[in-house]
Amino acid sequence: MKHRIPWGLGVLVPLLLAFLFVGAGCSGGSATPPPIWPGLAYADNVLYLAGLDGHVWALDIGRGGQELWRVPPADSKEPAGFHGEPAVAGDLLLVGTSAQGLYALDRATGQTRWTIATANKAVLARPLVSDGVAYFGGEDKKLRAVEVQSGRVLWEFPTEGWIWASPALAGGRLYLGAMDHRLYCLDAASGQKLWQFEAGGAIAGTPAVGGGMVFFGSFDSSLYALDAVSGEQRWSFKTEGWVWGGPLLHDGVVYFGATDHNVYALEAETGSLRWKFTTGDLVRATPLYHEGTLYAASRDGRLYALDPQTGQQKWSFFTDDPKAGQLLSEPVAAGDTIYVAIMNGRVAALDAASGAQRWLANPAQTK
Amino acid sequence: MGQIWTQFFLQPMLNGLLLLYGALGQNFAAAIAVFTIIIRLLTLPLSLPQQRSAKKMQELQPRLQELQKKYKDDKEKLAQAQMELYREAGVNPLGGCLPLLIQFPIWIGLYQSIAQTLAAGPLQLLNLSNNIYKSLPWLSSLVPVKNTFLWLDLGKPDPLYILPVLVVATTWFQQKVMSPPSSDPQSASMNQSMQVMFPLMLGFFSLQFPSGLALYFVVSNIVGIVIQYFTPGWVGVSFGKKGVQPAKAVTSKAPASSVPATSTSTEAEPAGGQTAKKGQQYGKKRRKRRG
Repeated sequence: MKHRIPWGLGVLVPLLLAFLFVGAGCSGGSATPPPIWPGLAYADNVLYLAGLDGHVWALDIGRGGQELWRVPPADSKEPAGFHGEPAVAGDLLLVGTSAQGLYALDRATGQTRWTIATANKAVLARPLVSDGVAYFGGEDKKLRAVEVQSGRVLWEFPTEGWIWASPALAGGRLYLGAMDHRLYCLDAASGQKLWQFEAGGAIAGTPAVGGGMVFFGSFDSSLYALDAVSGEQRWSFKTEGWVWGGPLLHDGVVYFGATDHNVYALEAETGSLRWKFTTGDLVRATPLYHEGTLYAASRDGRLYALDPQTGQQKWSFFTDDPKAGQLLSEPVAAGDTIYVAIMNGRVAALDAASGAQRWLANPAQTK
Repeated sequence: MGQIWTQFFLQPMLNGLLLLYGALGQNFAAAIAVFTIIIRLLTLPLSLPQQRSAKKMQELQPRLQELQKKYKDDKEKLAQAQMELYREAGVNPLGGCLPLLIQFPIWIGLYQSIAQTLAAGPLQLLNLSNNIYKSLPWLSSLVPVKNTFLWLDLGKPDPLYILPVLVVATTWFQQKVMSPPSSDPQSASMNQSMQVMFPLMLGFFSLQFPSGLALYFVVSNIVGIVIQYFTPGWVGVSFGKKGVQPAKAVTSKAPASSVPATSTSTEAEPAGGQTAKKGQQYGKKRRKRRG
């Protein structure tokens, strides 16, 4: 009898490792563009959905989210790389891609009007549109100002890190957070840098500006408040997790979520804690304020409706699937309805007052 | 189970890797290399018994062949005699397996920690945020890691295909120095096909994977080759060094048994020539004791 055990292991070891490498590669390290959460934009009774499997959809909200068009079309063999969060700009929809730059699509038809290449780097941030100019950043580490109608680049500003968030605009100044730990203040007309502030970690959310201050979160677990003119730090507030999404400023209170599962409300002037609300998982998205209610999406698959004054829960909507039903993107409000894009590709329309589901669309499954 | 894995394997490795990244001037390629070397050295006490066990088993081959011939019609007696032989020689035939199995999770954890630290997209980075120790909050300020090194974006495949070629070459050479030639045609054939297929397979994966992982393969292979050189010695190559004679010599120098000392392991076994001699010596000693 020969002793095959060591030999068998000699074969099994590499094969098992190879199998594991392939498996892990699928989840952690393949060259495929990394997926992002789906992004929503609303205008004129149409909801635009981008991300996840790389398509852009126009959904008719008056007819239960029925598809108006999708890009690329269902029968297209074009690679679907629309992974950025969409933004409405007049009659155009601006959407970033995983490698082909920024696309301007006709909102009525989905036809491409123009594109801007970004050196094969992803554009994930939602462009900021103001006065016919769109400002967008990408993983090529540049912020660009683009004339919306023509697609002409007006200026570019280089940073030293990926840009995963749109800038904020106030008083002719742009405030941009980048993954190089810096918050930049630029002149919106020329793109010239006015000042920069070095935070302790990467900045992946859009800043909020108001009351002479600019607020932003960082991966160093802090929310910062700076003087909007000079860039000097006024205060900072430490959480137990990354502050990924941008803060929301409303009525002298700063609302934001963190990966420590909490939604915080701070006094904008002093940074003192007004209340915090604990969800079942991390809170990535910027909260939404709509008609007296604060809406916060959590990765636990719930959208929480909170009293902005006290942090008391009014209701919560559960996607029925804590894994595939995670909520990572910002909810969108239109009239008395709140729309949420779920990680399983579905879009839910909820009654803003009660949280009752009005309809659930599954555009990816509809041909 | 998933939580145990994350808590005891993935998180310590991932945080260790980030610590090294910070300590080495935020050079992630250097962090991967140093971390791989440290893990390989730390697991040496686990891999050495396996190599020793394989070596002992190899030494017993001539005696086992004799027993097989002697008891070819009585499997029960054969099994008893084999167990007696193992007991006298102080060998546990499965002794080499356990250390090898224990190393599995370490390799997989190492691989996963590198893959996760190289998080290239928002969703991957969200997962990473869960696994960084809250007690070391400054580690969070190191992400996302700077993943450029020379011509490489460590989060993407090597565009020049240099690393995949190095992966194939070092994997092949490591297998070569760890696998003694076998005179058993079936084993030899399987060994040979594995020595070709596995490096090609890893090379193929390296074409798809982030180059940071290909770098890990290369460093791990080189460390394995060096360790093998200084422990049992390279066995599958011949540079005129002690212990690298091909198995052909065994067949001609193994009169103790008409069947050559068959190598059946692809892992770290001693040279066939030495093995045969030692096997004969052991047989002589044993006969002397009995006599």
